Amino acid sequence: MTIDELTRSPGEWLKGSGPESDIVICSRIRLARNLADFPFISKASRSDKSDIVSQIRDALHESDSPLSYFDVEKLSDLDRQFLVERHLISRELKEGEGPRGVAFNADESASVMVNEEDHLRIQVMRSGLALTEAWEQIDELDNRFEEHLDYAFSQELGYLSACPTNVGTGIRVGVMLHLPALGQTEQLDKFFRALQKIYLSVRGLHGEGTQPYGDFYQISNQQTLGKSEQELIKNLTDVIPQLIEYERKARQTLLSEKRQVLHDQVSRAYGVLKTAHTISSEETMLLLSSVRMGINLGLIDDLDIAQVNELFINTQPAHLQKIHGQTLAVDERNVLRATYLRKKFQEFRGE
Amino acid sequence: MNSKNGHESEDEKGVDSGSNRKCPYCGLDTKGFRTTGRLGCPLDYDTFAAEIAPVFRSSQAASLHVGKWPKRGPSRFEALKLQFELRLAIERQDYETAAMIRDRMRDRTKPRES
Ligand SMILES: [Zn+2]
Repeated sequence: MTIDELTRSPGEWLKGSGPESDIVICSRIRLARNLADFPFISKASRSDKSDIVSQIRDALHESDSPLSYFDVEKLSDLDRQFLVERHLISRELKEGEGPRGVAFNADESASVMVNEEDHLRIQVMRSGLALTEAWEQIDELDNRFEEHLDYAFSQELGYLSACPTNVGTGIRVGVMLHLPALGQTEQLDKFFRALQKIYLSVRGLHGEGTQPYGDFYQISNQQTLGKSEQELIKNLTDVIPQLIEYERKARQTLLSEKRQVLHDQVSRAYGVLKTAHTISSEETMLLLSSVRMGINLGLIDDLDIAQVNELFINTQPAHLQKIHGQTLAVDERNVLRATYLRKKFQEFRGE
Repeated sequence: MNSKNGHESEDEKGVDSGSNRKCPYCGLDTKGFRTTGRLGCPLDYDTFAAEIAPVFRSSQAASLHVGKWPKRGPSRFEALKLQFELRLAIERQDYETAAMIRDRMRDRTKPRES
């Protein structure tokens, strides 16, 4: 498997299938793990880091893992950004120093970052609302690693992590939601404040420290110690169906009370995407967000969610440049993005 | 674990939380932890227990792990910790503590009560 081959498909989490996929883009679980014999990353020397990499690569090899390893230190800036856009690595790993890498499987549902904030960050992503399946997959992956690695684990505090806010289970359970209708109401802030009271956090598309954009939100647990993995997962699975219900109601209300306005907004978004000659990635995302809602409400019938998801991923800066085969300046990219979109919409219509 | 006075109980109660302690293994000090919020090594959970306690109170459900256990248990890490404490005790010629640690190491090799 090579990085270039990944450009051919959008990856597991953007398949656009799975339960509740009109609202839940994907479910994600990650586990923070560290090796007992090494300092955490902030105090690890270059040779510590390279020893950690080789122990983990050996474990991948010995467990006959289907995950392929990529040396992030050796990758080009463009390839690193490309992996960030696919949610296979974090910005922190991209901008980190020294020996570090990522291993992932062919459908990109499972990945392991090596030498990010912790020695291992194991991640599973599934399309739609599928936290139970994600937990089963990541639990098994973690067990397989553990047969070959000595994790730093204490009886009292569980899995020891570089940041005390991750200690214990080391788990982060999250879902990425598309809430365009609730986004147009006043209710969303109120709802998010209620989530924070039950120790769930709300963030933007690319995780920690990012602003919600295009009405995409990530909701995840904050607590990791003092509750079991199953309890923490249940905290989310208890509340997410309510949010889905509110979004569905808000969509129906918009449809019955403001059908013309909504139809106009969606059609204009679709129109701009089909005809623009230069367009930024931010504007593309906002417009695709509208189009996505239009499809889910039956206002657009010549496009499907999988196609919109393909456009979402492929119009991001690094994806666009990988597909084009060279690096480009921002204004060149904006022209290329518009050209790409026009060509794609023609393809979708079978022209 | 505290290399300066060897009194674990003081650390646990946070009596000397105002002083600047330093981890003998990774070199992280209290100030460094307060600045970044990140620990330098697994042993820091003991060294900086007093500083970590408020983090647990504000952001965690409880201060005891109730989730998954590695199939092989905490053996490797606990053993490392004891070896390290033993080395420090011998270095400062604290043979009483060293003997206690050796007892604990012996206890660990017995089967665990369930
Ligand atoms: Zn340390």
